[in-house]
This record gives sequence, structure tokens and C-alpha cells, in this order.
Amino acid sequence: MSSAVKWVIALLVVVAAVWLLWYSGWVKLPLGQSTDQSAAINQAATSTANATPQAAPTNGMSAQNDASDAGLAQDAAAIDAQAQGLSSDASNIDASLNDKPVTQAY
Amino acid sequence: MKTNSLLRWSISLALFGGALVPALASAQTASTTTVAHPKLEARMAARALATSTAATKAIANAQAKADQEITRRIASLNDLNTRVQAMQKVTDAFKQSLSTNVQAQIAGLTALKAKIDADTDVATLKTDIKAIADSYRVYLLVLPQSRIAAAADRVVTIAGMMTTLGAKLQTRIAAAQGAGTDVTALTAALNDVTSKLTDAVAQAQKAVSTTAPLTPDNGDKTKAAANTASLKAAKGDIQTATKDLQAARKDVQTILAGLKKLPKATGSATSTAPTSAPASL
Repeated sequence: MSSAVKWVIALLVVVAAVWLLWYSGWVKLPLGQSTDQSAAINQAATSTANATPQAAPTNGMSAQNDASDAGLAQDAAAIDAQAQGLSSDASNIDASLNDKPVTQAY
Repeated sequence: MKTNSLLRWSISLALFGGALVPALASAQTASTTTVAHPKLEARMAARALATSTAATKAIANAQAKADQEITRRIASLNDLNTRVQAMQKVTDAFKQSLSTNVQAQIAGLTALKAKIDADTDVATLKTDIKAIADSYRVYLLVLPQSRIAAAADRVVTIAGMMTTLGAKLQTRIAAAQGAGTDVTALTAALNDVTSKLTDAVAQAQKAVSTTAPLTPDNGDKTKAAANTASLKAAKGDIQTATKDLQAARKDVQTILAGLKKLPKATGSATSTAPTSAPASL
């Protein structure tokens, strides 16, 4: 085997070794970010986000910290809509308690 | 000689007549019987056809009535299942349990309908139609039981929404008080809101705890009466809860009207989230 070929093989082995060391986290390369660093940043971002959770408003209510006149009016309207639904639920209870079956032929 | 001939003729004549008369009589009888049978047979055939047609019509009528009842029940059970899926304050397990119960009812009724539609004899049809009446005992409980649970869920949902609104109102009232406004009436109204919401949730929970353990009466009249009494009592609890919510809503309106009369504050109003956990069933 010529010496050039030997050099090429040796270079490939060194590159492979360095890559393995980088992949396993033993070596931190200056170019780009390691997967561990990315994970840490993501974790920090997530923790920051979780520290001040903003629950999404439900049933048509305004934002949980919106006490403006508009927010209060929106909340009152959302409650009134649910009250309509409760009225319908009550009617359904009455209908179910007063249910009459169709008279059968036999 | 003449006498002998005459005698001979007379005897011959008598013998001939004696043979002739029965023959004539027999011929007449045969002719009258042949004329009577076709009419009778036609009458009997017509009667049989009429009976068969009436029976077929009766079966078809019974099947139509049975289909009508089953279709009616399946429609109301499907509507109920949709409502159950929209419940917000119960656990997923409870919701799934209700839904499974309802789906089982629907599946049973669907299979029964197919069987009834395929029945061709009266005896089998009667048995299958009786099964409709038997399954009705379950339907008579499952429907109001689930409707009460859905209404209770709605009560708790509304109470949660009004609690959130109450926290915002508290913020506004506190700000007004800080600005030197007399907020006694507004504070009293807000306290009443809290009191009414607490009772509304309690009534809703009572309605569910009363009806959830009920089981079908299976024809037991005493049990049927007890189930009906429990269901009606739960309906009363829901009505009380509804009145509480209506009273709380009036208090909210009083507060909103009072806040509108206050001088406008500069800057946007914000509030903190309510510290109490939302109620659940």
C-alpha cells in the first residue's frame, strides 16, 4: 500500500474518532452548538414559559387578567350563553322524566 | 191370455219404472251437488285470502310501530351522547362510563330493530316487541340520569366562569375603593355572588350523588317508584342551583352597573387569577 493511501486512511480514522468524541459529548466544538447545549437552552426557555402560565380562556371568556369594561362585558355574555344551555338542559330533564313510549301493536 | 200379457206388461212396467225412478233421482242429486261446491270453495278461498292479508297487514303495522319507538329512542340517545361529550367538569372516566352506557343502549336497540324488521311470524314478532318494553325500563333511567349529570356539569361550569368574573370584579372594586369611592353596596353584592355560587355547586353535586348510584328497576314497581322519586329530587336540586346562578348573575349586573357609574380610571385594568381551584363534580 502506498504511503499516500496510508495517510488518507489515517486521516479518515482520526476524523471518525473526533466525530465520535463530539457526538458523545466529550468534545465541544466551537462551530455551531452541541445537542446538549440546544437541549439546555430549550429547557431554560420552557422553564421560563412555565413560570408564568397563561391559561387559555374557555367558553368565550376574556383573558383571565382582563378586568376592563370590555373584558367584563365579554365574560357576562359568555356566562349568559351558558345559562341558555342550562335552560335547555333543564328542559331535557323534564322531557326525559315525562317520556311516553309509542304504543305497541302486540 | 190377454190377462197374462197385461199382467206381464204391468210387471215389466213396474220393474222398469222401479229402476228408472232411482236412476232419475240419482241423476238429479248429482247435478245439484256439482252446482253447490264451486261457490263454497270460492267463498272459503276468499275468506282465507282475507285472513292472510289481514295478518300480513297486522304484522306490518306492528313492525312500523316498533320501528317508530326504536327510532325515537335512538335519536334521543344520540342527542344525549353528544351532550355527554360536551361535559367539562367531570372526569374523563365518568364521561366515558356514561357514553359507554348510552352506546350500549343504542347498539341493542339497533339490533332489535333489524330483528323486528326481519320477523315474518306473529309469535316471534310478539317476543321481540316485548323486548322493547323490557329495554324501556333501562332507557327510562339512563336518559334522565344522564341529563341530570349534564345539567349539573353545566352548573359547575357556570359557577367556575362566574368565579373568574368575580375575581375581576373584586379587582375593580378594590381599585374604586382605593380611589375613595364608597363600595359597600358593590362589596355586599360580590359577597352574595360568592355565597350563591357555593350553594349552586353544592346543589349540583347533591343531584349527581343522588342519581349516579341508581340502577334499572327491571319491572320492580317499588324500585321504579324509588328511582322516580330520586330523579325528581335531583331535578329539584338542579332547579335550586339554577336559581342560585340567576341570583348571582343579578348581583353581577348590579356590580357592573355600579362600576359604570364610577369615574373612568386611567390605564388598563388587570386582575390576578382567582386563587381558589375551580369546582368539579
